[in-house]
Amino acid sequence: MSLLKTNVITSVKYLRSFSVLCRKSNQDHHLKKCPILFNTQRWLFWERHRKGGYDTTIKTSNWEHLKNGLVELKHELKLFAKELKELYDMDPLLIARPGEIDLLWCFNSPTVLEKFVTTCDSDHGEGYSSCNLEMSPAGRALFHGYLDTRVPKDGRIKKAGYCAMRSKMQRKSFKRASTFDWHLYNTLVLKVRGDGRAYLLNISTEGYYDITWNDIYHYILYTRGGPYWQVAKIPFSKFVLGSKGRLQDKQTRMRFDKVTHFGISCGDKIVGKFNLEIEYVGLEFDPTHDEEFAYEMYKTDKYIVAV
Amino acid sequence: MFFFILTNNNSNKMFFLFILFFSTLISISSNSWFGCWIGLEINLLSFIPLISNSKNLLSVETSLKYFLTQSLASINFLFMILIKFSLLKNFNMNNIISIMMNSSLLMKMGSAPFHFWFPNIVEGLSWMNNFMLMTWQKISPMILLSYYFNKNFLIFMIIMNLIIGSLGGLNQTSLRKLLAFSSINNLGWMIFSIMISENLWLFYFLIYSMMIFMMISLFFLMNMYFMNQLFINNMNFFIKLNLLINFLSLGGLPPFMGFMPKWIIINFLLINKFYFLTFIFMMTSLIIIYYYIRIIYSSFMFNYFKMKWVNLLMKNNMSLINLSSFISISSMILSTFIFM
Repeated sequence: MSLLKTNVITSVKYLRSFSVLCRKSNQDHHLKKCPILFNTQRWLFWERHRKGGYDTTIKTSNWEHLKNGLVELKHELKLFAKELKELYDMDPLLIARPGEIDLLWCFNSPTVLEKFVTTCDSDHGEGYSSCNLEMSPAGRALFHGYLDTRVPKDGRIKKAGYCAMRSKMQRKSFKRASTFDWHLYNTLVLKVRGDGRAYLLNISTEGYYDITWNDIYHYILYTRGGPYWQVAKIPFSKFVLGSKGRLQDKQTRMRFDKVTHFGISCGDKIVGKFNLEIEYVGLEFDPTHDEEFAYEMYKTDKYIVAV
Repeated sequence: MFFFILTNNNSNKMFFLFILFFSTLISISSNSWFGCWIGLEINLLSFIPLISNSKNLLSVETSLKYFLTQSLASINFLFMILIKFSLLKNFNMNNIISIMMNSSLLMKMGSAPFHFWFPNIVEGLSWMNNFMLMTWQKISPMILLSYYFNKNFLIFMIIMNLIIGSLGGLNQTSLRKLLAFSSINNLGWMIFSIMISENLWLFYFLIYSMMIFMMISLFFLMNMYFMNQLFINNMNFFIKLNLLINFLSLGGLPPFMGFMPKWIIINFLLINKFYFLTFIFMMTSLIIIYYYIRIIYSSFMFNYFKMKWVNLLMKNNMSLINLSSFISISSMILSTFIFM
């Protein structure tokens, strides 16, 4: 289940192949009424939709849009005034002192949970897992659910079983998209209490162009089950580049200046419940860590392509 | 720069640098406006391979953004040239066409109000590529500007350049963006010097290139891209002193080298009674020196941690630092012995 509720899809969205260079992989007519796009074989890199073709819009009338907009206007004006004041102060953060953790999200109240969105494969009929992000009895965020690797028997999906939570896009005033600026830091710090399963930490740096929209830097966080909290300090140099889940051959270092999302996902193919309690997610500058990037790219001759 | 390229076994870059050099010469020495446009296009064509480095996703994005903005400006320029040719005898349109041509050239340079791409792209490039972007890439648009400019329009643009260059750099923590805004401010000075005389522009440009080269080579050798790296690294006192001298020289403070071209321009301004413009030049210089001093002061005063295992490249090779400090301090005074 996702925090962002989607309406039951009554209208059929059947996305045809959008270019003559694409071939439909499935010509069966009885599958015409399925609500997601066919996995057409793509011969281009071009991404039409930022969300990969999944329709997640909530249909509201124009009148409701107008009313919602007027309600939010006051809040947005306050945010804008705050931004102008910051610009006038001209006092940006120059240093991250070593040993100090600057918290991004401290999960001690339910309001912080609204900054995250949970997704799982059952949202679009691609599986049977479920997940939820709530406050735990200990007063911290609890990302829990049930991971199920059963594949729905429609023949569309080959593998199933993922649950994820991701931070919402940073917004400036008037809903302008903004990004995190982490150039002062070089380590991600998480205080979690897991259940022994391995979770994936995902840092997404969507750039300006659609080629990099799906580039996410991953790191596997192995948790210890048990009543004790663990503080995981992961340097940014250890994150691995993947695009749409596939690890890339040509690995590069993460860019710190325009980070768009941070997320945690569970997809370790073990059927069963998962629970991850999170106290805070923060950033630190570790001056002793001078590694730029952990994964070596070997120098190859120029005729060897794609490396 | 050449030494760096030769040591990296990168003969491709040498080839493109060669074409870059010649494209500027084509642009400024052609008989017709069409030849100027050709030079600008070849300039773009040869600069893009120099900046795109496929190992780094950020530089790919940057080079694509650079291509889009520059080609838009080129298209605009070409179109205005063609309109100019077709309306050759219609002198009423001269004003509008000169404004449009100047606008496209200003966009090529990264001058206000078309400067929005400039800090963004400078942020994505390495130091050496930034040096090329800030110095060599300005030559051909500026000389083309001097061939056909609209005085009132340019004075308005100069004022905008000065104000935006000074106010934009106040809230920056990235050294590259800081130098980008400083470059925009210096563009204002340079455009005005073009309106005075081309010789003066050449003088200003050479001194500016030298100062920028000294700053960028220092940052390149120390591998510094952000302000926090200035405070954290265990810098030698002489490196900090060099930073002080070069930054103040860039800001135009006497007795350093950077004051000399600004002095001559202010001389001209006051003789010709451009009092309001002088006021704006002075005030914006003040704001720029403020944010330079903020950086230098912090780097001298903050005594963070001197870690024993952090090894600095500069400890063994101080000759470049000493030479650049010497040039910055003494050139103005020595030049008076030679020329006056």
